[in-house]
Amino acid sequence: MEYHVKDGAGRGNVALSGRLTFSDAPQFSKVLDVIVKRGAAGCDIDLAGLDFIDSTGMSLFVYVYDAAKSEALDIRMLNVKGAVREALCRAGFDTLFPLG
Amino acid sequence: MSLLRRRNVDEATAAAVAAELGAGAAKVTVFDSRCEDSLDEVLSGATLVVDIACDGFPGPVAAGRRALVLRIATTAAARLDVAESVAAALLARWPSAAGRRGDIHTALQEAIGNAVMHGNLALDGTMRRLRESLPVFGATMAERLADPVYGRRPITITAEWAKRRLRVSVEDVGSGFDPAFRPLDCRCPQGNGIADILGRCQEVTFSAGGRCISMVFAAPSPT
Repeated sequence: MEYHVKDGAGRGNVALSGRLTFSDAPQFSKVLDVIVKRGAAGCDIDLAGLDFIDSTGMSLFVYVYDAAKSEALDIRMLNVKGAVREALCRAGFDTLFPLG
Repeated sequence: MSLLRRRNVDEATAAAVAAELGAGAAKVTVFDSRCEDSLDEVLSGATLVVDIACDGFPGPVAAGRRALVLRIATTAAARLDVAESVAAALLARWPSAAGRRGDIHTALQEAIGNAVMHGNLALDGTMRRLRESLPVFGATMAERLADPVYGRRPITITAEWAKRRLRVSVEDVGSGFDPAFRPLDCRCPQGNGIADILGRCQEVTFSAGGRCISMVFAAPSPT
C-alpha cells in the first residue's frame, strides 16, 4: 500500500493506493499519525486507487474512527468502490463512516 | 515425476527436494521465493510447489491428480500476493469455481495473514487492540520478517478438489491457538479475519492445535 498526502483548502487529503493488507501493518502507526495530524479541519481519505483490502487493512480504519471520535476530527472516506467497497460494507464499516 | 526448477535453484537442490517429497507422478516445481515477484508462473501447471527459502523439506506428500500443494517461506507470504496467485491457479484447474473466486481469494488472504502474523511470526494480537501499542506491533512484525529464524518458517497451502467441492488448507508452524476465541465486533481491530472466512465457506475446521485451517467451498449450482 502507498499513501500520498494532498492537502487542500482547509482539509487534509490522504490518498491510499494499491493493496491494504496485513503486510502493511508495520506502517499503520505512521499512516494513522499522518491522517490524524492533517489538522482540525478534518481529513478526506481517498480510496480511489485502492484495489483490495483484507481484515487487517480494515483495522486501520478502526483506529482512524477511534481517533476521530476522541479528537473530534471530521473524517470522510471518498471514492470507495468495487471490491474495497464490498468488503468494507460486508464488515459493517459503512456504520462507522459514510462511504462516499 | 516431472521436475521443474526455477531461476537460482541448482539441480542438486531441486533433486533433493523432489526426493524428499516422494512425489511419484506429480509435477514438481522448486523455486526460490527471494527471486520471484509473483507466483503466477511458479504455480502454472505444477502439483507440488516448494520454496527453498523456507526451512525443512515437507517430507513425503501424497498429492492426487486433482491437488495443488504450495510450501512457501513466511517472508515471501508477506511480500507476494499469494492468495491471488493461488486462487487464480485453482480457478484454472477447477473451472467449476468461477463464481466463487472472490470468496476463495478473500478466505485464502485471511488464512494466510493469520498464518503469517499470529502463526509463524508469533505476534501477539492483543498489541493491535490499542493505538498506543500499534507502533510496537508494527516494529516487532518488521523485525521478525527480517529475522531468518521467523522469516524462513514455512506456510503450507494444500488444495484438493472434486467435481463440485474444493478444500483448501493453510498450515503454519506456530504455537497454535484456540479457534473458539472469535471476536465478531467489527470495531475490534482483530478477529474479523476468521469471521470473514466463516461467512464465505461451506465448512471450516481447525486442526493441529489451531495451526491448520481447512476451508471447503462448494461450486455454484449450475444455472
